[in-house]
Amino acid sequence: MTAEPLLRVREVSKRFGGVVALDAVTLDVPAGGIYGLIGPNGSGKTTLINVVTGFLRADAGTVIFAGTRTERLAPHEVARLGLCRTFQASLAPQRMTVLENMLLAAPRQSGESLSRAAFAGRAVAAEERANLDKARALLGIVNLAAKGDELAGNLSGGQRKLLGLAQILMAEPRLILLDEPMAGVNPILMAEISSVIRRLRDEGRNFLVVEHNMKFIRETCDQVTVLDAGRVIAEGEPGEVLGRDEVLRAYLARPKSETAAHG
Amino acid sequence: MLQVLVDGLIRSAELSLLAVGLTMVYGVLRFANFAHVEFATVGAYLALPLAALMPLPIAAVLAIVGAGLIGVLADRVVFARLRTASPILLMIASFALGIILRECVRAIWGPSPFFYELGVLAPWRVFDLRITPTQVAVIAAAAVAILGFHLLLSRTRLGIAMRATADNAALAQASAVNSERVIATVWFIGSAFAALGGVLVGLNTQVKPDMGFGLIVEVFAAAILGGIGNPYGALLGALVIGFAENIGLAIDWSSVFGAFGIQTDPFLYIPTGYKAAIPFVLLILTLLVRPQGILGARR
Amino acid sequence: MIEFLVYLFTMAGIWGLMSLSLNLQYGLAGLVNLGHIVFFMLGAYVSTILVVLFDAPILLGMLGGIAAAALFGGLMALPTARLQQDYWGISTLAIAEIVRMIFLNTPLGSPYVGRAFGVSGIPRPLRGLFDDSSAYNLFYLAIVIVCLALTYLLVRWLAATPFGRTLKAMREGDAVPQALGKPVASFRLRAMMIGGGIGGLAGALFAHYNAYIGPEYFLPVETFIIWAMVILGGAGNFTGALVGTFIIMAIYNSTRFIAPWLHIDAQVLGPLRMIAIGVLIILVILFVPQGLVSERRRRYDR
Repeated sequence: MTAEPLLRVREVSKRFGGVVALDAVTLDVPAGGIYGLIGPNGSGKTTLINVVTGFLRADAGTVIFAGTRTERLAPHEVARLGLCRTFQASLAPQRMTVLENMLLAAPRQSGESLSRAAFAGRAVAAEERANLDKARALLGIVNLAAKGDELAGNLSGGQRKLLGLAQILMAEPRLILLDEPMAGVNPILMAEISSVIRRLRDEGRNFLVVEHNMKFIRETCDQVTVLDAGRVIAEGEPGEVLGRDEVLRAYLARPKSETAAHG
Repeated sequence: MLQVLVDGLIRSAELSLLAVGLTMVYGVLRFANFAHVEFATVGAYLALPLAALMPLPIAAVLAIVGAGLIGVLADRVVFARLRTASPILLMIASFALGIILRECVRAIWGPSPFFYELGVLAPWRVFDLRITPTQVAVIAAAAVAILGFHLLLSRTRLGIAMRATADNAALAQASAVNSERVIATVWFIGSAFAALGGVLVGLNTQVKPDMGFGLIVEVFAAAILGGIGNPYGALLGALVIGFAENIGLAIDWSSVFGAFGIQTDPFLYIPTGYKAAIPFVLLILTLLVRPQGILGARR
Repeated sequence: MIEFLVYLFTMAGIWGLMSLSLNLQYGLAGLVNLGHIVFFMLGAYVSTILVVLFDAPILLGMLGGIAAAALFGGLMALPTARLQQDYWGISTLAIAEIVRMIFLNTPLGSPYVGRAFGVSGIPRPLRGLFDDSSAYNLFYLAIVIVCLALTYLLVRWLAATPFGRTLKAMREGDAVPQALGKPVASFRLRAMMIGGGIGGLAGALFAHYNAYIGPEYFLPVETFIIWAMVILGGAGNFTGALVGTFIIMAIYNSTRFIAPWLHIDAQVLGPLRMIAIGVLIILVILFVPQGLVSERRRRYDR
């Protein structure tokens, strides 16, 4: 494990009109492990994710990923550096098949260049075959191997989540950013997804997970940062952080039902 | 110069009714209705045979109501089944409907232009201006209609329901707003306004099958410029477009360029053949620079 | 009768190229171009100007037409942000009309050429090799069919490449492709340029076949007819686009045969044709929105 953090967020601020979404947020995501980002609704988690991945431009602050400053980059450039994300709603193109979705995610495809597709046909075909093999292997890990030719739109909600996970693995990112992977997921599937994530972590993958689900955070995350109203209010190990007063207050200041549901 | 302003006002009056109707339908149904301008044509043509039988104002009212009903019918038959369809399919369907309406008019009345039989009315002269009584009527009718619409939106339950549905359809429905009824009303008012606009254009110039389609870009430009979904924006947009068209032709652009230090030939005027390009260019500029329009879109 | 059929199939081939072009831009890439006729117009006018005004060889003129249309397609692609999809559609309509207005107002060479008068006497390639005009028309039909076939193979091939796959993904939103590292603007640019070039080819072929072009051939309603062909056939499927082309062409051209039977006035015939197509499109959208030939799924597991 290197000492240099994989992702450094420094003093990132963002406002929308009169609302402060992020207020000088600073955090470090170390390499090796599952890093959690939690906070009540409206605390700015999604905004932070959008800024880090280039989908939103911050008003102030810097983001450094694997040594490169990214706050001014377009989303696809950030992705190419190795920081890939999922979306809360499973947005994988519905009118493409599962395997097409997987192939879409493969990095550095020379077939996307027209000249290479035209003049280096054999090399492109070889790449496609290699990517297909890789895709099938990944689909095997998430138990979707049989659904290769199924349209993504025909999958169940849980299967779509798994496809999203497999798809992002296909892109071989250095840091995998999961945006609420457990949203709307039943406990059995959640256990399955958690075990996949842990297994991948053990193989050396890095995760940054935005989540509401406390069970998942407690059982799976190595480290956690808590956001409230756009500010970092705690960081550390989940067991310890989730017991702190200020964290409980942040959640209890909201209607009780929210904490009860996630306890 | 004042004459140019008056011409601009007349044009704005004509466009405002169409733009407000278009923006209303967009606000509630969330798609660009390419058939909207054809209701202007339909209204203008419906008034023609009626005008032979009764005074024009009454004929106009009947034609407008008729067009409004056709609008409701169009929604029932075509768009009601497409409530969940993608906006592109809705757009293409509305384009098709527009063609059907326009070609029906062309088939029934033929391609040659018609005029409302009003006899020759001498234009009034006020100071240096020439304005005919017809043109005064056009401005007055548009103003009354817009005022009435404003009162409807702000004072009546129906108006509030319309605004609620435009802002957030799901929430409105949850609050027991009957969205289907609101939608039908919006179609009626929107099409009726378009028809009134058509009658006014016909009064001011002529009635021909392409009269509605010829306005399509200006109407969209006005609605988008003001902020799509916002009726007051549409009014503002219509004013801007109406004046811009007329002022744009009247300005000697060499002096404008000169003010920026660019030397051109003296007497640089936009050729009249390109008059229609002015709203087109304004539309593209708006979409590039500030797509939510001046007053902000309600999407 | 044969003469008429040769004419019909030649025009169907030219319109077929337009459908393939629109299907590439809309069916494959999801771009709603409501001013699509502009590519046809540029291909026709630029080729005509190069050949008639500048004495260029016809082949060069046609290539110029294709290039002009492709470049314009690229230009149209520049300001697109996905958020403004229906807005972009309306502005393409405006752009096409502005281009038409420019041609409507600009004399080409002499005061009575160009503008509303159009350009006549456009030379036909290799006309001198044939004595017979009907033999020549067959020859031109062959040219059009070859172009159509080659274009069909080209677009099918494009769809099967990783490039085409990314376009398909972009149909449903920019977010996922971007999150996977795809520079979506570059893909859109290329799709618009290729589509534009194909449209330009259609326009150039038309100009040198019809021997006359004028602004009246490039009205917005022509774009609608191409959309009708693509939607009827099935957006996303190139074979479907051609099927839709032939059906609409059949309707368009058969009315002249049906008319005498139904005692329809010649003046009413034109509008009735358009009404028929309009009704057909609405019926398709209501009841068969995916079109007659639906998009084929790419299967990898046999």
